[in-house]
Amino acid sequence: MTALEVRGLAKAFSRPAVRGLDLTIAPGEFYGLLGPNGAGKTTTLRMIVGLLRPDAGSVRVFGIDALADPIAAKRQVAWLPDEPLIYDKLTPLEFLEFVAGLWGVPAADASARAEELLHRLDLWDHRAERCEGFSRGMKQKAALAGALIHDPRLLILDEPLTGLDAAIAREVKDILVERVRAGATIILTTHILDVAERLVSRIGIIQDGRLLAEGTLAELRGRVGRDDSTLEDVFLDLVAAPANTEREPA
Amino acid sequence: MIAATLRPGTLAWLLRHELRLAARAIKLSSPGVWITLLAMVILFHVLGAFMAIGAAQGGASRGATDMQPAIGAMVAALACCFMMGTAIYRAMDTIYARGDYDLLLSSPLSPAVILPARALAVMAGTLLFPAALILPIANMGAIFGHPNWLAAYVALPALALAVTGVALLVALLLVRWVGVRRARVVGQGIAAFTGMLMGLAGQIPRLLGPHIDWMARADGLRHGPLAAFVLLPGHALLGDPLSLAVLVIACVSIFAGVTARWGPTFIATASAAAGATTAATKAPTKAHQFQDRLGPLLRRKEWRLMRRHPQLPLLLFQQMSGAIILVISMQDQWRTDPLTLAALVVPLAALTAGTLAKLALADGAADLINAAPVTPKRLRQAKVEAAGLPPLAAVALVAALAGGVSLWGTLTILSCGIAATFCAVVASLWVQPVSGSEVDQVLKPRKGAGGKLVGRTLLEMMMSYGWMGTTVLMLHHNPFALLVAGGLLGLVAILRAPL
Repeated sequence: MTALEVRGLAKAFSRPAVRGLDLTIAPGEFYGLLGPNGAGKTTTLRMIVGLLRPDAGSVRVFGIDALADPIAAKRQVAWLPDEPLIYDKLTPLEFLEFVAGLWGVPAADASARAEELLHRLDLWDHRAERCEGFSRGMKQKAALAGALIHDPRLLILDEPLTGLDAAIAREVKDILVERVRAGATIILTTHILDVAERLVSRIGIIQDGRLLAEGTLAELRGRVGRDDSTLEDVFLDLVAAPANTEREPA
Repeated sequence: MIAATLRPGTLAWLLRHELRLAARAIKLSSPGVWITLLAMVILFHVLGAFMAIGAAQGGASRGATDMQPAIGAMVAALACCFMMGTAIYRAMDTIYARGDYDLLLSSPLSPAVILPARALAVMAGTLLFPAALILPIANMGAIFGHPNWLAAYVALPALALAVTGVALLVALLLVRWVGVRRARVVGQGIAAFTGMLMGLAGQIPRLLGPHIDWMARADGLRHGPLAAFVLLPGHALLGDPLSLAVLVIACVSIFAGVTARWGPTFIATASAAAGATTAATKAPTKAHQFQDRLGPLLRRKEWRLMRRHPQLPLLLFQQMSGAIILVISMQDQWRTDPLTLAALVVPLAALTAGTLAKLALADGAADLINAAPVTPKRLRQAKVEAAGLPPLAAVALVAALAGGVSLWGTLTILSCGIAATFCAVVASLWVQPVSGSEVDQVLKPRKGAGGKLVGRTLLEMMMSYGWMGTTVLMLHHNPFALLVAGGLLGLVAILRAPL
């Protein structure tokens, strides 16, 4: 069974944002979805999470049809966007209690897990303060704790490191790697290609709503014919190529 | 063209920028705002024509002529009340909430022009609506034989300058005493209170003593030692040159004095406030007990957020102000029929439920709950319960107290309170509708919902006081109550809110 299977996913707003996207991600995989601004990454992730209804295509999360049974699919998933999804007027503990309740985590388990996560993310001393006074990094850590409290099998992160300082970013990366080792599947988008290069096991590059290339870093290097290049070089070569191809007929 | 002629960095240049921002804040580019303003201007021109004709006809009698400065002073006082509320709100918003001092102060712009430009923009925004109401009357006065009324074109902006100066001081004091965040709420509260004062103006004689001959007192005031001071704005509005000159000099002095004397203090407090958003650390006093039953959990979260919402006291106060005016206006009736006073809980519960529903539906992390494995219907239900239960508790309490007078009173207040609360929540859902789809955004207002917002407010008021009327009719065993109740419930059925 795959962790995520996306077939022919399409969504258009004023113009097509995602065009017939196919993705297959195995359980325990750390997958990086990369692409230039406006490529359709966030739209894709929002459709997978169930926040947007696709115009066409299918989404299966651990074999569950996410369009036919969204509640069952959502039980498996956690979503962490770049802007922390928290309530400013709640304390971290109150926030975690609420999120755990939404995902149906028993109170005793949730309480223990919240304490562990807050200690781990260095928020325990701030557990009784409202999030409105937190820095951006602290808010992102509280949101990450919310994403992890129900122990999701599939963790979807959209630019999770944006605006975080080096120490917090390191902490977040360590936690993500631990989750993958523990068997969770992670899909991550980032513009920080060094992070993707070091963290993810497989990379998908999308542009104009289409999957441009997919594979391990070695496979992508092979595709552009530059064996010793960085992910940044490979990425820039790949996203530049279709534009050049499209310009050729003109 | 104007932009090209203004030298960057000057007061006029910065004022143009501030006015542009102010115009966008009140959506002056929106046709709806222009249509409303135009309608008001036309309406008040017609009203002004009647007033001017009336004044011309009454001009023959000496008493009517003598009353004109008093009426002018009253108009000026009401305008100042309205402008004070608006000015405090705008001062808080423009000076403390915009958060662009880092940009302005890091530029080569002289700090001395920042506050005057902002204050003048506040004054312009404050003046807009009173001017739309009063100047048409002055125009018609000029046409119908009172050209001196055109002095309002000078007197009103002068009053706005003075009011802005005072509002700036109030804002500064509030920020110093209670901090920026609370100061905004308190400022809005003061604004709402001054608005309520306008509503209460007509009730002041009744409040102070129903048996006093107020006309005789007013006549005494007109010739008393305070007359020159109290009637000065009235004389100025009516074009008395000396009064107008004194008013303008006094008002400009207040404005200039405040901006010059406290300008650097404003900038310093606003800059400091921009960087001081961290709440004080509070040590946890007891272990947090986690709740895992979804219904109570969702309601508890909504109640926490409602309780901590900075706008809640203001919103409730605004809703209550109408009821306070009603209580004062009908105090004689309340004394003879206490159950009618108890009926007031019905609209208050409904308006409170509507306010709480608005807060609950405007979820700050809609994506989070929409990504959760809970149906939108269950989430919506929890929000409705959270909004409806506290007002219903108040209704139940008052209904129980009414039991001491009559059982019919208890049943009437209870049933009408439940119905009114239900209707108010439905009206809130109507403007923030949800689709039947599981995956669509459930809490986001649809495009073009702005018009509905105004419609909803009117609908809420109409339904809430409609239910109060129903309650009073039922208390008096009037069968017409059934008709009103049927109409109100029919209206809810038409709205077809997705409960």
